[in-house]
Amino acid sequence: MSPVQVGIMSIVLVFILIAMRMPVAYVMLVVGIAGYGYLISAEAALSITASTIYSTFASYSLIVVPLFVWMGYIAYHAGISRRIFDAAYKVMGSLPGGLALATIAASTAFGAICGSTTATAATMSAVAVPEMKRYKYSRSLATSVVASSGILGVMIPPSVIFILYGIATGESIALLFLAGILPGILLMFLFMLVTFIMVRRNPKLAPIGPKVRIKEKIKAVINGGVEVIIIFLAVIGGLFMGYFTPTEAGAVGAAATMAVAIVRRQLSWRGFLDSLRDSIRISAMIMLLVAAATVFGRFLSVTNIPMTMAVWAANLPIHPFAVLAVILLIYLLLGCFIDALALILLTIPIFYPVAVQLGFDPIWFGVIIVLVVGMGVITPPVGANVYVVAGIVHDTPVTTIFRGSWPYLVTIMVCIAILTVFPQIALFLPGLFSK
Amino acid sequence: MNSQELNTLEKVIHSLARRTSQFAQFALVMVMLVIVANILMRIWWKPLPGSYELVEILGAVILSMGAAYCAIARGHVTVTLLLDKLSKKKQAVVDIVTSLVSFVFISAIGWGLLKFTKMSYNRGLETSTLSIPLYPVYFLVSAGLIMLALTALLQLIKSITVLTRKGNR
Repeated sequence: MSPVQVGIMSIVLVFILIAMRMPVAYVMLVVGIAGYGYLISAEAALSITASTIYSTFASYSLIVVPLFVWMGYIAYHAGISRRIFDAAYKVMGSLPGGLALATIAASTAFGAICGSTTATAATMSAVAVPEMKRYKYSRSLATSVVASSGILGVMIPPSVIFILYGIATGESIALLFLAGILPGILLMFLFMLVTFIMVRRNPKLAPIGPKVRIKEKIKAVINGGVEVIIIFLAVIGGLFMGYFTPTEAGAVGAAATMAVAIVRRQLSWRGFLDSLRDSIRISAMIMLLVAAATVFGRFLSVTNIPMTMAVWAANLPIHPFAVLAVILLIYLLLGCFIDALALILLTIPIFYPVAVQLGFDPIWFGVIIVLVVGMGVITPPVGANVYVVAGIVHDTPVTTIFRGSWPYLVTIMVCIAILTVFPQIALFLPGLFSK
Repeated sequence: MNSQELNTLEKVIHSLARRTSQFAQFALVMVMLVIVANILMRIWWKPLPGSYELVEILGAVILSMGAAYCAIARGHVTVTLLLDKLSKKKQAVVDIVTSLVSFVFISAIGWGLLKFTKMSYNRGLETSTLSIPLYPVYFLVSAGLIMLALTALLQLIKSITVLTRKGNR
């Protein structure tokens, strides 16, 4: 068998094993080792895997992942999200669909102190869904807006997915962070627009909330906004001013969030321990995936598949946009079955060279990848955010949430289309910074 | 193995994973403190010597001690959808295959890391600034993988029990 054939067989085997309920990280390790062993030697395969796992675990640059995950969990357990939502809700609550709009805005703002889409969705479901229930919002709208807005949490830096993309491809994490900001804000407005239109067409979805006096609005914004701004400026500001590296920004973020929580007397000892426990579980999951994807990626590069694919795609007699559309379609289909993060790590070694070969900007492609994750976390049957929301809300079946999510799914696709036509939206801020 | 022995084995592995995950939690706090201390000292005085290598070692503690806990908390990403439709017995057969494969490969990686441990002990490898010997770190990562392999072994034994019990009826 030629290396390319071995590669193709192994990709098929990956999907078979994943379908057999084997953890995705284990699958990539097993197939990576077996394939590398077959093509080179078993001893080399084992040695390269052992050293990859060691260097992923004992990595200075990757320690940022557990730190940003922890930062999000501290904010969650300290109730910072509640005050953010409160501010958004007082400002927008009296508009049609105001609470849903407030959820979208609050998810975006929470994204500035949280780097994970599921953590954002989990946080907001605990905070926003009860309020929307109180005002008799349609259950489907209330839950799906929370699940869908989770992606705003990773568009706005800090963002674990940008970090992983940056590490996997060697692109600058700081530039990726900058690139996410404007598309994140664009997506926020698109989500709001869609919600507004839905509620206008069917006012029963979201009864109008109470009027709030302007004084109270200002008070709530100051109360909820100040700490987010402080944390965001400390972390992202310090990063761009060159005071510290992305890794250090993770530690500063966790420390700043904890400092705010302690000053506000919002973080109990129990909450602190819970935040640590949750962070270890999630970090171990992510990092084992990263290590496994690295092993699998090394094997794939021996098979020559990434380069073969890239050259083949670049020579196709169709427009690069059509290839991009095919890639996105593949992501959409696979994203239905495989967790978004695992899927990204599994496929970046193949699709990143293709995108670069086709002449797409790698930073811009990173933003598109994050949007793709946003689709993956709300598409049935394995949309992670939908399960997270259903797990916290308890009384809404996942099918109801999935049904409510499709307008947002379409909106993300529209956002991808807009960014494809106007890549400057993503590239403007990185362009300013890298000059 | 009868069900009581299986329960004991499960308890032992689970409590081991939970205990070790507490080391991981402690290490996460330490990482934050080391990095923040380094930034503050850099601004006002001079950088904390060896902070880079301390963070790397603590990172190894966090992830090697957290991996097995993640496995027992069912935290590793799986796709359950297709298999859930099969009968319990067929599921057990599939689980036996996948957990056996997982156990063999993950133990092999753990063993590979043990060889690295031995090599770094023999060569006396240590970090550049603080001269911390590296073999305990390699050993820790190896131990983390072996614990992860144990969780796969537990799953294997459980699936075999499911199958044999059904078969007896």
